[in-house]
Amino acid sequence: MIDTVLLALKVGILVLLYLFVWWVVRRTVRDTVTGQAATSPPDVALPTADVPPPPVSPEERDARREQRDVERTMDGQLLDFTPHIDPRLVVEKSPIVPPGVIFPLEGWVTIGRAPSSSIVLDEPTVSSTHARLVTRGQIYVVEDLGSTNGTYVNERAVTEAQLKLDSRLRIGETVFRYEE
Amino acid sequence: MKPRTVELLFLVLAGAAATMAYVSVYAGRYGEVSRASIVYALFFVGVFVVLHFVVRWLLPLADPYLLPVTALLCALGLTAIYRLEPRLAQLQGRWLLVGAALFILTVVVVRDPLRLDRYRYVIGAVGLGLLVLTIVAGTEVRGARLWIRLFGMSIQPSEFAKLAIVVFLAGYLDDKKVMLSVPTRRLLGVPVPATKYFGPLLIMWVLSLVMLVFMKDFGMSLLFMAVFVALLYMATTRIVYVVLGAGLFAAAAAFALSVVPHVRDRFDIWIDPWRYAETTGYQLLQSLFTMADGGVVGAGFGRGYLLYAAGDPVVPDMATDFIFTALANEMGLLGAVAVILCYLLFVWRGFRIAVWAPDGFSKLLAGGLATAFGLQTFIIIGGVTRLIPLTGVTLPFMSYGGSSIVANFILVALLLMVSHRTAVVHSGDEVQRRRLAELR
Repeated sequence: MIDTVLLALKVGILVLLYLFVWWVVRRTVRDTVTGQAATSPPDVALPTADVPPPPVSPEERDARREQRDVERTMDGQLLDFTPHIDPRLVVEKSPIVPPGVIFPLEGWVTIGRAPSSSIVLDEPTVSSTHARLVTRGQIYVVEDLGSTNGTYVNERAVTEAQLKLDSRLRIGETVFRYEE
Repeated sequence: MKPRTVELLFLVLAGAAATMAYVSVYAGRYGEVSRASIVYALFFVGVFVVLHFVVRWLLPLADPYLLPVTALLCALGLTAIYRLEPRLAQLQGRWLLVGAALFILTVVVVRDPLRLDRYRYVIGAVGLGLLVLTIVAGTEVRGARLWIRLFGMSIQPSEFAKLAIVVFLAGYLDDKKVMLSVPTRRLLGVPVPATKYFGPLLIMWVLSLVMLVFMKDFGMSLLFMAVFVALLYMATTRIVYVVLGAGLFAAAAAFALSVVPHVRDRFDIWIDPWRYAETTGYQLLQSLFTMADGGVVGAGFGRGYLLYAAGDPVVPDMATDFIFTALANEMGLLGAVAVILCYLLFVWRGFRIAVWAPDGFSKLLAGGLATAFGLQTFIIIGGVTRLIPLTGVTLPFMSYGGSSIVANFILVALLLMVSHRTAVVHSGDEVQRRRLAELR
């Protein structure tokens, strides 16, 4: 009698153990394939709550894009004097900030790793005070503040450059798109 | 299904396995199915159900498989210890309670692993202090100086130092990883980073060398060095550190072989145990015979030949270092493989947690802990099966030993916290997000 019980228990334990392993493996593989966590909405500490909705409709923005006030300087650089309505930086790609997050621009804005920056990018390749965005009349200009790894507009290292509609601003590994 | 529902289901499964194992041991010994063994099993399941509810309360989105795997490993370990020496099983049961209490304490106090990063130097110093304390005030047991006697208990501080050093290194390397990964010059044609950033590598190397010489323990020394090299690799993705680290450790091991007799003995036994069959090689040989005796399916719990008539285990130290041998004997090859698969599951989940973690510190923390856990398991199972020289590290959750079980419960708590954080960041669960943000 007791031998039968022991045999049953022995087989039972082995079966349970392998069932356990099999189920965990199957569920893990399924999670991996469907990529449960592949889409990444915003991080915990982001200022997403106080982002205002864009006040300009897409049609209106396209219309404005048609009639921009452009002038060429003496050395052939193109300057854009169209007054901006709602200047902002939209995150396109970043290791820490989820793409799509909007930073509205108002006045002078500093970007850097220091917590006192207007836009804090806590990345190792970002200097503590990396760059600043300054207004000149109606245009925004980005100035590099002697950062270690440089500031890039449309993938060109700059010390100072105007941000035009849809310019790509890269600081560290974060790429912003400038919109207005 | 919600993660906690999954966890509860798997805990029920683990609980069923635990109950069957206890009943089996009792029946194998006394020839009857008794109520006592069921009560024992219920106590065990109760502990894990309590942990489950703590997790449900504070970390509702944490990984659902770690706790059940832990329960399964603990159950099998406790059963094997009970099988060998019922007195030790009672003590181990108490240690399990202490471990569960510390698990809860860790979860309640820390909550968010990122908060540990703030105290990284304090934690690192504590870890280093524990190691130094062991070297200075430790007592030697069977040639290795790993224990400290305190209030009549033997504590193995290196188990806790392991956790502290992983936390410290995760924070430190996350900060310095860019400097460490950018090569500035060439050494023998290999691009290497600036010399000053090699400082920590050298310090860890010296530390593991010191451990090797003064603690006379090859296993812990290998564990520390390997975890460090693995973390460096994870932080920088530069294989040069792995090559260098392996080279440095090989040099240290070669040095220790010629200087420390205890390490030399272990090495000789590994190469040819039959030459020392009557003396130092006896333990390892007995272990090999016992495992072979188990066959493919084993004799069943309580039925294997593990104890002499006088009650001494056939392999000395079977409840601590050779617990895997006992399991392999009674559960056979199939059971032993299942146990190894359970350890693999644990490590797999650990690395998954690391891969999905939202920030560098959490990534390195989870990766480091999973590496430490997996390596320790490899070192001891490899040791008792004569794959590598035998050293006295514990088999996580299974070996008899309070420090080990308590430290590993803290390790599980840390992994669960990282996975909860990841899930919160990725899920868009506003309530949980606010709760995490408030902690900062």
